Amino acid sequence: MEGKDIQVQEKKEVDTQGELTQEGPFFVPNIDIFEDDSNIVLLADMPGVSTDNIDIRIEDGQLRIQGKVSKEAPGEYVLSEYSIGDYFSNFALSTAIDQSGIQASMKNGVLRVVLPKSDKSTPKKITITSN
Amino acid sequence: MAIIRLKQPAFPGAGFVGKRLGKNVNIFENEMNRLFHKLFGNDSTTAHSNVFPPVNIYQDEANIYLTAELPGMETSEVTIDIEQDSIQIQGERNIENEGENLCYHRREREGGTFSRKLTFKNKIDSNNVSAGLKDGILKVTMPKAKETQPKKIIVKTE
Repeated sequence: MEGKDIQVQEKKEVDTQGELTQEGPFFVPNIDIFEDDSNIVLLADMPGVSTDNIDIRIEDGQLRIQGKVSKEAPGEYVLSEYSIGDYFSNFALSTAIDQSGIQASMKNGVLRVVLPKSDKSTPKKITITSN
Repeated sequence: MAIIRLKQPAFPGAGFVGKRLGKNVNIFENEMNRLFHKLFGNDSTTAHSNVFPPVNIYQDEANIYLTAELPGMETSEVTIDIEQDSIQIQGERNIENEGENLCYHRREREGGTFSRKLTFKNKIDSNNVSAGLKDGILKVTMPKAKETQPKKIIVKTE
């Protein structure tokens, strides 16, 4: 097989300031964020989270993503190399985002959130006229 | 059941625990080892497996189960080779090119090729292995070969 070898990334646990009311670890998903002229796109790796178990909210100008994972084990543990836990992530949304137009989809454990930029933040080209 | 790992253990003690024969591996011991390594180890990133993909292995009387997190991967991108006593998982994770002229703010998702082989102490009924990929989780069910399954002997009163 060609191409570079995949790098192993350790799952990052959420650093909480307060006490969690839920048992078990919470993880921060690995995330890509990029933007083009009209959208900001967020991709998050959340393996084990199905479409029904994801919760995306906008609260106080924050985008909150929470994904629930089944912790059911098919048998007794023999070897455990990764821990299983829910995912949690939080982003501050700038006013430059059209909050009503946010779209999200989930495929093979990857969440995709498309945040459209509001009209006032899309770049406008200003033509310069010479007098 | 015991697992003989071909790569170095994920954390000190993991290999040792895995090689013990005929005993149930103590999950608490596993966790303690991990905790100790996390606290006192030189490199915190090696507390988990340093090979991709990290796997979890479970068993019951009839089957060995293997799970691995492969988010964003399609069934066609993963190859599994089963031998009598080993499993090899190979594949390539492609991070799609989203287009030109993009401005990346954060880039944490990793792509690349991987290959991993695990050897079991128990023999596997290699004709009846099933594997599925759902929501980015690979799950392989490997029935133990008949001769390695525990037999129940009923004691009769005479």
